[in-house]
Amino acid sequence: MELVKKIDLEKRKGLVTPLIDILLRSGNASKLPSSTANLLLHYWQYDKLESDEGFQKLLEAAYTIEPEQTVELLSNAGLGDVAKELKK
Amino acid sequence: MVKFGIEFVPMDLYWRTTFYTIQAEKAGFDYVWITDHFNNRNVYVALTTIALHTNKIKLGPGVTNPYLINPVVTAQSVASLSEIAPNRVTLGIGAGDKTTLSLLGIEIKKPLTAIRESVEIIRSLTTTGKVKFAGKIFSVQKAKFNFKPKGTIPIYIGAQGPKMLQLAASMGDGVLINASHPKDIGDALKYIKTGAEAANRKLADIDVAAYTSFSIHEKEKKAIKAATPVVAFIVSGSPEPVLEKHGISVEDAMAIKKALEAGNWGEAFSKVTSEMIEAFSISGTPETCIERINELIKLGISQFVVGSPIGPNVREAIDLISKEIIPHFKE
Repeated sequence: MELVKKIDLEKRKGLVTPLIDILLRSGNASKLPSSTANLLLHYWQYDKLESDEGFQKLLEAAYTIEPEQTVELLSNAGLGDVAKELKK
Repeated sequence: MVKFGIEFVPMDLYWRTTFYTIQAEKAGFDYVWITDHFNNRNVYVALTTIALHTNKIKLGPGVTNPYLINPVVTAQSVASLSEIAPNRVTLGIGAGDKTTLSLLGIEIKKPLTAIRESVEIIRSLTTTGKVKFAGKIFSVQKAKFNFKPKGTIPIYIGAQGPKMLQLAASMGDGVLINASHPKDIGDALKYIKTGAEAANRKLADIDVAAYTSFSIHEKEKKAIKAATPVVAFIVSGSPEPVLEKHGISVEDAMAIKKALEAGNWGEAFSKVTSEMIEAFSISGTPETCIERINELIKLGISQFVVGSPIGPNVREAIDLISKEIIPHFKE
């Protein structure tokens, strides 16, 4: 959660759709645990994907199935430090 | 005001279908229809997940059939679903897909009787929780649920041919017309009116839905490319009179069918013409789609169903529909 708090709300707003697209387009989507998928659906239903909890799950989910794309997305958004921490 | 529905095929992971449905609900869609084929994920599992993650969109199988699933089980399924989403559950039922059912050795016998009897059984069970029925195809000596069905469950009948359309209008709460072109929808509406009048019903009391093949994108070519595989399958399965109505030769349709059967997808799709795309889908830019939807509304439909493929990218297509299409008709 500490990681997510380093990303301000404006940045999160811009990242939600590209992260969702990673999930929707990935050929590795079946690797996503159903427990994570269910939580994501809950946050999506209640417009909470930008919240600390929602964004954390979204980031985790994207990194789980497409780590390279997720890191690249964060780096391109000027969040290289976050990307590095995510890798750890 | 016209209602909007959207169809999803549960071929994809359950959470993707549910994700798109949540998006559709936010976009202003009124209905979600989930197809029912044994080779995809189970329709009621998909609908249950959707019911749990949505708040107002109406949902139901679009469509199930009485040959593979006994109507008593269908009634039990929708009644159980209605406990999770009271007054949001709808049921679409039709004669079924010949190709898919034949894979299981199931023959579609007496479809009109099968649908009529099924609707009677399901309606009785979902309203009173019990049924006793002696029909020509189905017989239920005495069936009673151990739970009380919640809410009302409208029954929509999937129809294409004249007799099924008339039957649908005589006893269905709605009709799902499997067509996209004004010629087909116009013809269907004539039969629906006849069926409604024969049963002393008003057309206004029946939700008439055009269940279309739909593809939208800002660039027309991309929309058409996405629709091409779906149209290839529609053309290959269309009866001769339907092909003739649209000026499509049986030979051309047969060539597509043969290529599909041989698994030569590229060849099959390359034979799909712009006339076929226009006859069997609504594909193109938002402006084109609005124009085509308007034609159907003028004919008298009360629900427009955005069916497969929706667009080259489903998330973007729903986004586009929410920004350009639904506001045009609802605001």
